[in-house]
Amino acid sequence: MTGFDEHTARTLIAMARRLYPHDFLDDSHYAVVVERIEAARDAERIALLTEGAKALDNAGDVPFAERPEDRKVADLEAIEGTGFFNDVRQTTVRELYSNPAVWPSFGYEGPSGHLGGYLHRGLNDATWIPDE
Amino acid sequence: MNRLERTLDSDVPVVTYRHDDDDVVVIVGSGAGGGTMADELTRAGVDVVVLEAGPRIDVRQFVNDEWIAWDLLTWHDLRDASGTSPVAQNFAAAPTWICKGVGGSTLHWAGMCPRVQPHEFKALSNYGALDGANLADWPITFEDIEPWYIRAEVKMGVSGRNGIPHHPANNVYRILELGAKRLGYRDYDTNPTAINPVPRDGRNACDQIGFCMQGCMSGAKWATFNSELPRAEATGRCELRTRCMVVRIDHDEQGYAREVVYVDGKGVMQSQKCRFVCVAGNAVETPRLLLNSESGMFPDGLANSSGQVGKNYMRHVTGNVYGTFEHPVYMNRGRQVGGIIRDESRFDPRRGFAGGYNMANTALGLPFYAAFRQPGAWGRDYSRSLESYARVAAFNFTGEDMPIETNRVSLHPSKRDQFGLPIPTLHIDDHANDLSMREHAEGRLRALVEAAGATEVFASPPLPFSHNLGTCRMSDDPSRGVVDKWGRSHDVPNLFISDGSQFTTAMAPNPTLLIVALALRQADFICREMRGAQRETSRSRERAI
Repeated sequence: MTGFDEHTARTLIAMARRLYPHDFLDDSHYAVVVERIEAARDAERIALLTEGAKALDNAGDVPFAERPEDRKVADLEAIEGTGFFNDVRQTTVRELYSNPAVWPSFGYEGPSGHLGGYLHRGLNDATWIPDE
Repeated sequence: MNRLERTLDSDVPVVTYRHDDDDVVVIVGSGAGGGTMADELTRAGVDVVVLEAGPRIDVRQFVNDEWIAWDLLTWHDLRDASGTSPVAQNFAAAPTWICKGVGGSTLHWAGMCPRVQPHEFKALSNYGALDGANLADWPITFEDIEPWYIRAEVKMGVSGRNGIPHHPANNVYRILELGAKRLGYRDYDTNPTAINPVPRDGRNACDQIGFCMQGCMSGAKWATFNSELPRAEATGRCELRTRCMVVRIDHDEQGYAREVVYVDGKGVMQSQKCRFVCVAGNAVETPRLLLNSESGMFPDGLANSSGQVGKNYMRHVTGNVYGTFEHPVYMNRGRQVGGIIRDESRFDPRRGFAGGYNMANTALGLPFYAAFRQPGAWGRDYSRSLESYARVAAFNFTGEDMPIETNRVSLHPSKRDQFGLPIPTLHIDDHANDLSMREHAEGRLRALVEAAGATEVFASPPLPFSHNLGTCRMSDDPSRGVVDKWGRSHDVPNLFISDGSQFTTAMAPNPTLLIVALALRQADFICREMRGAQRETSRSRERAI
């Protein structure tokens, strides 16, 4: 198995959003996390994460993705430190913030080598910093 | 063919030596120490074989992307860590951040070249014996190293020194400078770095791209892959064998190193006979290689009659402090270490700790900022705090940590690497002096960013260590150190340690400049030894070494 079933994918996307919530980002940016895991084509890992998502679902009356925010946070706190949690958290923090599509929302300018760097492009343009 | 073009070439060497040629000097590792040795020895007419575990990395592979560069450049082999250091806790499988590739960790170093101060060579005399610390004076003085130091600076093209101009200020430097002035500091500037502010020595001028630690796309940063190694290869006396992981050094009945055993890129076990061996694999792999080279004559590891191989592992007291300002800072613009304050590097025990530290402004892109500002953090408060990225300025401190005998690199009892060898395991406890220094340094940086007008301040624990030192320490006394004042093994007369492993104490400065200076001095010594041996040979028809 090299992909997640739809429900598991939805659960993982909801988990990624709860780990690093940014209300201005839509779900497609969190879905990148799931896509990257699937791209690694590691059947053992897919199985482990599917199992973890299932356990997260079973921890409440309604599926994880449908729970209110505070409930989701509490359920994630309860599994902090597990292999499942660590994998999803580490993958999310890496993939979410290294996606160029989110950078403008954070004011991160990304690569500059192809633009000739900042030597003549605002290296020292913060006029608000006083000279004393 | 010019030198930069040469670095774009494949793994094909420019000259080949026979594996049973016992006249060559074998250099293990091609970073600051190994690359410098290759350049200096070939310049003097010596034939060398450099064994580098990693590949040649094409400069066109460099990217302004932190994680892609991490994957490309990092030494990823398995490691393990224990101890009370936050790094052992947070990054047990990756306690160090060094590189695997031609150029070693000069691929990702930020280029900082602070100078060592004379008192730092005499840590024990100046600081006194500290409980739990294995302090010692170096067997050399500042005066011994000074001429080599200047040569190293000129060779590497350090900005702001020896007639080379300083780099221009970036935004974060201006914040550093403002805070420094308001706190009354006096000794600060845009940071002497081995990065060309103007074209020099076949390298370009810096475009202030940022991403120095991801591989310099300007071609301005000194690294052995663009300076020492192509120069050595151009002599026709340097065979650089890439993707060759050295696994053992074998010796003869007299205890001389005679053969270096390695696994080549095809996974085939090979060996190279040698006249001398210079080991420069960084302070984790260097002692690991010696420990893996145990024999009947050296049951505790090659060159380890002192029992000091792997011990006294040092990595500097480090940490980052971040300030959020009201207006954009764009810390990503320009050199990643665009400024330095040296006032706290002084000798002043009144601060409550021995040793000193330097402060610098630094830069992380959003990916590393999110991953490393607070390792392991998650949740709404943390993610919200990341949203101010463009208004954040980052600073770090780097100071002298204490050598502790139980802080050590040893062989893992059960875990094996891809070659079937025990993986290195690091034990890292913080000394009380390290903790006091960290508290002081963090406090001063907090005060600095607040003085400069920050509205919010964050501090982060140390990240995986790039300054790995001390695991084959230098001492005049063969029972207390692994190498003598030339970096020569006390036990194995034709074995030299040519990297930061030989540091007796850590000192405050970033170590590369001193590693290069020590290598220049060691290469000069080896050449003089060889000439002496030649005279001896013509007299006795018998080679002394």
